[in-house]
Amino acid sequence: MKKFLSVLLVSLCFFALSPTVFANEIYVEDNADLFTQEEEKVISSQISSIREEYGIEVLIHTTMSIGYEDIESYAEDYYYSHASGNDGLVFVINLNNNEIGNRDFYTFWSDGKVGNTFGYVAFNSESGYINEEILPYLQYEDYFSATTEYLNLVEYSANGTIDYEEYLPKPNYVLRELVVIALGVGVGLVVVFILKSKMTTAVIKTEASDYVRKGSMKLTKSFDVFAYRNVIRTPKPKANTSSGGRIGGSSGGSGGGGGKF
Amino acid sequence: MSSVLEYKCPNCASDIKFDSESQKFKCESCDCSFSKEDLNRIHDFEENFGEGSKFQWKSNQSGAEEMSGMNEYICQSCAAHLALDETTSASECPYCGSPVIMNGRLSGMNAPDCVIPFKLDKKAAGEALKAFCKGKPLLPSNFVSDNKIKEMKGVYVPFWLFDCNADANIVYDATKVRHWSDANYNYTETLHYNVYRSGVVGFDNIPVDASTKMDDAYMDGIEPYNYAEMTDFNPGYLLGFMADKYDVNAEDSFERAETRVETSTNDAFRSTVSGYTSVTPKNSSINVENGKYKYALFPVWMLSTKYAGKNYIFAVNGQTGKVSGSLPVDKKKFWLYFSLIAAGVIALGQIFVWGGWF
Repeated sequence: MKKFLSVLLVSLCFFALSPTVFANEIYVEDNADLFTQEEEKVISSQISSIREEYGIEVLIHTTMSIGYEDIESYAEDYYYSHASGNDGLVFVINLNNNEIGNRDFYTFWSDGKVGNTFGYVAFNSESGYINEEILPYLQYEDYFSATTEYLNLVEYSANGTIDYEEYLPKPNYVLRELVVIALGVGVGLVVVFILKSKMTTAVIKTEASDYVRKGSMKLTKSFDVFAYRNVIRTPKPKANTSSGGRIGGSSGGSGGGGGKF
Repeated sequence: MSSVLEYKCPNCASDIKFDSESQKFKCESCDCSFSKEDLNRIHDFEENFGEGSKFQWKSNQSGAEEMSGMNEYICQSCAAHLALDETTSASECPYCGSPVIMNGRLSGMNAPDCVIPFKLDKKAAGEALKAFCKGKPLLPSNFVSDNKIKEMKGVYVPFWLFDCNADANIVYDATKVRHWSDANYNYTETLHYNVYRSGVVGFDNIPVDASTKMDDAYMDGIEPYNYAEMTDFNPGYLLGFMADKYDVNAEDSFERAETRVETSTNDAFRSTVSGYTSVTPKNSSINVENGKYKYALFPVWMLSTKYAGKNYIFAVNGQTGKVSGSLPVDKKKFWLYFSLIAAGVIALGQIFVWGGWF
């Protein structure tokens, strides 16, 4: 019995110390050690609930440093190497060796529900609703509250409690009208100038195709020689690009956004 | 170890060396490589280049006797020299419409080698002009109804006709482009080829207007003539018509003929290069040897009309009825059509803007 209890205790310790695992997947990887065991359980529970209810896979990852890699690539690589599917997001907190003001938080979302619904308006660093809400917690180094609030807001976003309509960029109708007017003027001018060109048939000829003797064309030499090969390699544009205020795709597709604290 | 032989690169003309490992000649400058067989073929081809394009023309005129029994009319306004038979008179110049014409005995006008007789009469030429005016939305509405054909003259216009065989050697720089991507990069592969073409293409009877009074653009505009109906010259064809006297020598017409030969030869050889993304001529040499020319008269109806106080001249091919000229543009119609089309596009655009598709 004693032996059995020892084995049970060791097993419990093992599971308690290891990252939270659900269905062979790691939801929270707290490498910066920002959460207690209990906090991790709470966070994992929230994540499970979001996944079951809305089919969105959420990953939380904290780290002390990401080396020389940029946060955008780091988050994207992390998501695709850890996510089981292709419909979710990862929230990354990089303490950057605790260099205050230079610590990153960043969300990368994949193609799918998040990208097609609230990804851009929620995580766009300039006006992203969720980013703005969690930033004060991060600045106070209350990482647990920041993360739980983050997950609450993701859930509210997924179930429509938060109406993002007002956050969506408004169509610029003035610009669109100007483009349509310019197009109309352009098409009108092209058509009338084509009609005008048909009023004149007196044009100098520079070719003599009407006077080529039938059957006179004879090729005496004809060969093609390969000279050289040239390959140009250009990096694919990243889903997000801005510095400090990183902005992801506008709607649909994958993207990302975050900020510094 | 690689052994070394000296050659020139056909691509960049740098030194090229034989690489025994690849068994090919490699250029260290542009990184091209060529087989011995390719280099031999290129060497043979380039020997034909010589010093660029050469054109040689010689007269193929059958006789140079002067036309007799003709009167010469000289326009005091534009200095056109016109030959008419003794039974035909000219009341005004067919080119500029000036009524001041002096007549005298024709001298120094050589008989042409061939002629295309008039096939269209005056009425048919007028109908051809009316047909030309149809389907022109910018034409003033009253141009046809108010348009009075002031003068219509049948004129035999002098032309030089050039025959030749163009011997061409052309090198093209051709590319094949392929695109692909992996997870992180986009790739563009460009394969460069040197394309060699040699051969011959023949031309018959390229016409070049031999009268300075006649606008070249008007004469080019009524081409082509049907040469099957071209016949040896006989003064009888001129009865009732004017005949313009050439004032541009064959030598002065060579340049226009050569331009047309070069353009069409390049086009003909370019059409033999296919399967590439882009083809750019790199080097070309076109030689015309034993080019021949002769003197001909072609039938043209010159129509002079007046509309809104302005003269409009039209040339009608006296054989085919093809019309060349410039019709007036109604400015009100121009802006009306522009406004209607622009408004239509803008109205259509509103559906896209407010329907959320744009």
